[in-house]
Amino acid sequence: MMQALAFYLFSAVTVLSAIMVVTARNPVHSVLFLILAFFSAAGLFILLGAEFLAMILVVVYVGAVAVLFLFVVMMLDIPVPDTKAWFIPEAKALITASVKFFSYIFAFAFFAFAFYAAFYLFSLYVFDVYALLHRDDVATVAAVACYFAVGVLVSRQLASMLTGDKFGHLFTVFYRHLPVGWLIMGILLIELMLVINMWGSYPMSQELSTAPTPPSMVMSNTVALGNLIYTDYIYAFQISGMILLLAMIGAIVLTHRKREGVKRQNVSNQINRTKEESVELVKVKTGQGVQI
Amino acid sequence: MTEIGLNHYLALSAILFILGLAGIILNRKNVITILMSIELMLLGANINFVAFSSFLNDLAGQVFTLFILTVAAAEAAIGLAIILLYFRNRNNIDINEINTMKG
Repeated sequence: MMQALAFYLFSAVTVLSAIMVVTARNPVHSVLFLILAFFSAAGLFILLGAEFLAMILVVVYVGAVAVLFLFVVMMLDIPVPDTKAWFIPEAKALITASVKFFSYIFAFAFFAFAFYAAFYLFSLYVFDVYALLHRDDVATVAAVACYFAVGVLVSRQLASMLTGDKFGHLFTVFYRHLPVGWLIMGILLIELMLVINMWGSYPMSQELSTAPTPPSMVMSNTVALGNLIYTDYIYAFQISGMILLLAMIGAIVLTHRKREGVKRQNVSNQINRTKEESVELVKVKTGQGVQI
Repeated sequence: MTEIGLNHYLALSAILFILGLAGIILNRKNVITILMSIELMLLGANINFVAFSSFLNDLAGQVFTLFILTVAAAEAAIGLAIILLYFRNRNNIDINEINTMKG
């Protein structure tokens, strides 16, 4: 019961702060919510019995990565866009585009219906009489095709005039502001949930485990992880160390720059000074001074 | 409801992953938020790993989480360095403005 309560608390805080990370308009707020998300995820890790990883998450992520983010965000001095949340203009544009789109569709349907009704009555007199007279199938097909084409063109034109918008332009606006992203996210979430619900483990999977967790009475989580990292996973561990070294060198090389107008000590230049280039003996004539 | 199983953790990690993805796709402000969204996605993956490790009694999952954390830290450092460099050259990190590579 306590465990369930803790799980729901930590996961709710994690999800809410993740939402805030994504939607907050001020990047500093985003970073702070990211820290909160990492803290509650560390709580979840402790619930799962991974104490060492929880520690690492707090120390490395909150202590190093998030603070690095904070430094960079504050250093860059990004202007906070405007007082509205970022998704409000998006939603407004979507609503405007949808209203335009549907009014266009309705106008189109109305004119198409009116046109076809009128044209049908007319064609009863012209085309059908002609086709009947000559018993010509090609003429009938051509008549029907012409009748559809003219109907579509005229209705489109009338609908454009009514809604004051061109069809193509309207579609661009509509699709540019249509949050395809939300659709994709919804589909992905549904798929993941389906997988999670259908999921089942192979009965023999317990025996297939390469590194069974020792009971916490025998050794702590940290000791067990250490035993594993320094034996079975030593190469991967070394490689991750190399990756960190590379990242460090890369970050320094990328951001380091020689500044103009800053005086620096150059030791070899100082040592290589000779008497000839630094000392000059001048005879000063009395009463005349000396030009330096 | 009161019994917390593996599926609860998997659902949580899926939600976190999707939120990170949403942050990447829907973000129109700056690149730093995208990097933070990537961190969220990696956190979701980590929760998945640790949950399986815990419920299947296999420590290998936690070892891999450790490596993911390492790579994520390296990625964040390099990404931030690149953003810093970009900011120095262009004086903004607006995503809509980043089109120098466009032919």
